[in-house]
Amino acid sequence: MAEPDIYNLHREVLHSIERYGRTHKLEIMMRYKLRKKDWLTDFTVGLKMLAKRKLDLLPSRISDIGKIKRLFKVKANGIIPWKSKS
Amino acid sequence: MTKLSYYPGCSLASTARENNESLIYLFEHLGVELIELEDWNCCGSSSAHSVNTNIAFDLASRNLSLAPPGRPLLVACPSCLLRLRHAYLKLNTDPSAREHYERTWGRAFDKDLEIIHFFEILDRLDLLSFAKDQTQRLNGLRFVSYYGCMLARPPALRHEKNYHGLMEKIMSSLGATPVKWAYSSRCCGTFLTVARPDIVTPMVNEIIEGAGQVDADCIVTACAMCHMNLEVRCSLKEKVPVLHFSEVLSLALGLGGSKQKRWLSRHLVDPKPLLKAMHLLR
Repeated sequence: MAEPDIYNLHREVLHSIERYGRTHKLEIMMRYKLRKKDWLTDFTVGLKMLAKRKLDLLPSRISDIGKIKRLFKVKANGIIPWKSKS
Repeated sequence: MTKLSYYPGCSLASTARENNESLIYLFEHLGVELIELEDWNCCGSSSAHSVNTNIAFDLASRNLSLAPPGRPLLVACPSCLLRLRHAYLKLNTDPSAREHYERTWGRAFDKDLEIIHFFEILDRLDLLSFAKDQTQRLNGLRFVSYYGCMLARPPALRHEKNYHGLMEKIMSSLGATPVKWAYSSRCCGTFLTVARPDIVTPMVNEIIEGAGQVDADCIVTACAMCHMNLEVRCSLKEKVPVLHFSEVLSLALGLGGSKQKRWLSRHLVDPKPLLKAMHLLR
C-alpha cells in the first residue's frame, strides 16, 4: 500500500462515525497512534490542543446511532476492506 | 427574528468551538436565530467520501432528512456544505437515490430544501448598520483573506455560487484594509495534516510566510479545518494570528466582551496582543 498512514487514519475516522455518529478526534488520534506505534510525533501539539480544549475527552454521540451502525453493516462488507468477510 | 436550521458539523462542534459560538452569537445580533439540526451526524467528509461513496452519501442524506420543511439549512463548514449539497444534487436528479433515501430514512425527500453557506446571509446585509455607533472598528487592520480550496466546487457543483472576494468586501465596509497576496486559495493540507505532517508543514509555512511578506496583521479564514492547520502546522518562529471570519465580525460590531476573550483564548497562536493594540479588545 502506497500510503498506509492515510488509509489507517480514514479507518479510524470511519470507526468513530460508526460508533458515535460523529467524529471523536481524541480517540481517533489515540487509536491511530496506537496502530502506528508512534507516540512522540505531535505529542506537544496534542497537549496544547488538550490545554486549549480543542480536543474533547468524551465523544459527542447521536441518539439514533442504530441507524448509522446499520449503514455500515449493510454497505461495508466487501466495500470497506477491513470489513470484508473474505 | 428569522429562524434557520443550522448544521455545525464535527469541527465546529469540537476543535473550532470558538467558530461555532461566535457565529451563533453574531447571527443572533443580526436577527437570525440558528436552530441546531436535531441529532445531526457527521457529513462524511473527508474519510467517508474518500473510502466509500455510498456511506458518504447516506451520512449526508440523513442530515438532509432531519431538516424541518420550510426552513433553509445553514452550514458554516465549507467541507460539510459540499457533502450536503452533493447529496442534495444526487437526490434531486436521481430517482433511484430518492427511492433509497425514502426507504432508508422513512421520510420524503424535500426538494425545496435550501442549503446555504453563512456567507450568503452576510452578503445580503449592510453589516456596518449593525455596528455599535455605526463605527468602523476595523480601521487600520491590514488582513489577508484565506479561502483555502474548500469553497472551490467539484465539477458536479460548478454552477453554484463562488464566494471569493466576499470577505474582502465585508471587512472593507467595516474599515479594514484587504491586502493582496498569492495564497488565498492555496490548499492548507486538510486531513493530510495527521498522516503526512511532513507535507503539510512546508505548505502551511509558505502560506504564513506569504502573509508576513505583505505585512498583514492577521489572516482571516472561513474554514475551521484551514484555521486549525494554519495554527497547528506552522513551525515558523514568526507566526501570524489567524482569525475566524465570525470572530472578527463580532469584534467589528462591538459585540461580546468576555465571550470574545473566551473564544480567542482557544487559539494556539494568540491573537489578543494584536486585537488589544487595535483597540478591538480590552
